[in-house]
Amino acid sequence: MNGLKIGQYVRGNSFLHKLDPRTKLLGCFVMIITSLLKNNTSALYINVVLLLLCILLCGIKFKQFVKMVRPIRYMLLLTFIFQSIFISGEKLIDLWVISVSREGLHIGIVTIARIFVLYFCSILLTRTTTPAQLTAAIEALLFPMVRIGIPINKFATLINVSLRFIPVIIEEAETITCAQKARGAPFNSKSLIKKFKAIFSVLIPVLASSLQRAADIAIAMESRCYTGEINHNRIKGLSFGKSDIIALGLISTSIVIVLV
Amino acid sequence: MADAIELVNVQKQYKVNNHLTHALKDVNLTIPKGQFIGILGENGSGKTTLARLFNGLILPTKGNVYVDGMDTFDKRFIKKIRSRVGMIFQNPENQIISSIVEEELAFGPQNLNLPIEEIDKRVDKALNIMGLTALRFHATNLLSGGQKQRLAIASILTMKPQYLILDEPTSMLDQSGRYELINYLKKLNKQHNITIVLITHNIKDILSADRLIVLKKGAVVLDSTPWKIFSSPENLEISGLNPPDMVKLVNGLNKRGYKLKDEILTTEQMVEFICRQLN
Ligand SMILES: Nc1ncnc2c1ncn2[C@@H]1O[C@H](COP(=O)(O)OP(=O)(O)OP(=O)(O)O)[C@@H](O)[C@H]1O
Ligand SMILES: [Mg+2]
Repeated sequence: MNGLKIGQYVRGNSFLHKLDPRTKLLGCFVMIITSLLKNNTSALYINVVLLLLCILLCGIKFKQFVKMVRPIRYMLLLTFIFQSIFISGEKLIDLWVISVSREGLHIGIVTIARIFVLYFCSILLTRTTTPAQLTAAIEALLFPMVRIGIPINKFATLINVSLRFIPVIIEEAETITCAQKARGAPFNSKSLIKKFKAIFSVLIPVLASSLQRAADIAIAMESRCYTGEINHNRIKGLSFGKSDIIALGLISTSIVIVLV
Repeated sequence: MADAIELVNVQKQYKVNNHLTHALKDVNLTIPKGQFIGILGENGSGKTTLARLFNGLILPTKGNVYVDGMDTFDKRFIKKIRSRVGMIFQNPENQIISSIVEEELAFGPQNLNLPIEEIDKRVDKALNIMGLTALRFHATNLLSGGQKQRLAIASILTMKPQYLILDEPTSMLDQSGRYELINYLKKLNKQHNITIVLITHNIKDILSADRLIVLKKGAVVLDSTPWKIFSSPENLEISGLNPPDMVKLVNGLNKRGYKLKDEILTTEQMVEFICRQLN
């Protein structure tokens, strides 16, 4: 159960690892926004190419890549099939009742590319950035919002702690699922109501124990001098280098392309 | 400024549903620097309450707690007190806040607003002391229970504590993990002069302590050395403790006319004693 989970930080020495976390965060943000723009697909394709390049730079082998795509393969396949079948337009292929249109095919590909960008942006970000770096980046980028009374530093800590406990809670949910199955909870029942009941029999104990856990963690943090105030040293620890300038250059280029 | 944790006439009451529980009744206690102290007591006797009073996590209903002369009621001292009095909890999982070992160690000193170079130095040293250097960049959720507990201690050490309070830290560990942790605690006490206060249900953990404190229904009923507590029938009666096998053996031998003058609590001490007799 303790295997390496997708989205977990993997220590390394790649170009992406060395980038300033602020650059990476900004980059992901820009990539995702430009990819979701409605009428401009050239930015989307540039992003896909850039991401593939990043995957290469990260030292991810083809086998690992396939493993990463595996969890979303059905989602990709189904969206592609549905989009290309159900959107009407100029007919390309006509098989009895099923027909594939040119517009459908196009939208299908665009959707797949968008999912790909969303998925790999987050994977690459969390793979090459430790949660604490990410927290520091969020704190640094959104720091001006503290002035208007939004406690960004607390928000950043929240993210840091959540990332730490996601695998723990998933594991706990798996254990409780097994325990409830052993007592005969009908997870595979055809009746939707029964199925929902079974799911609740897992959800409620997980929630209850998470609340208990939260109380424990709060005490542990407090006894290590956490007071929720802003830490300026952490932000100073970030360093902006040459590679960051190159990366930011690339990011701004893609914005320009979108706007033109 | 006294170098000790002092409890003066401390009472702690909890109010649940209009019903008052006296978790601690009029406790006076001094924890001087350098000792290895064990705290024993049945469930609900007030051990956890006592531990949390030591670093100001909770405040007494009556009386005062002083850490090296600083009153825990005084909000100005709270960071100083908490960095001096480190606290380790029972569940290793729920006291680790970061995903990476190195970052976990930096959490405390970061909250103290220390410069990065200083934090780095402290992290190096703490990893080394707790034997975790090889795991520096590991994910924290992949560590074993024993390693997690050691990590929790290491991440306290980066705040340079004078006192380490441990609330049943071994209860979720297996035999070897428990043995290893106790040895690390002894090392911290002897080599780094950190005062250890170890709360436990397992007598074996604290046989070599300098001092044992036994709580019963919120009061300190015994405060003495392990030998004096385990070898005297009336103290055992008061505390309701079961003596370790070795003490039973020594008492039995003494009754049969062998005069063993040494205080022998563990197998190692017995072996040493026998070897000395043979020479
Ligand atoms: N937060 C709280 N609210 C209300 N009552 C509490 C609280 N914490 C402790 N108590 C009560 O105070 C008494 C002492 O509890 P405490 O947790 O200190 O005992 P303990 O010796 O640590 O027990 P254990 O061996 O089970 O850990 C108990 O009667 C308990 O019910
Ligand atoms: Mg307790």
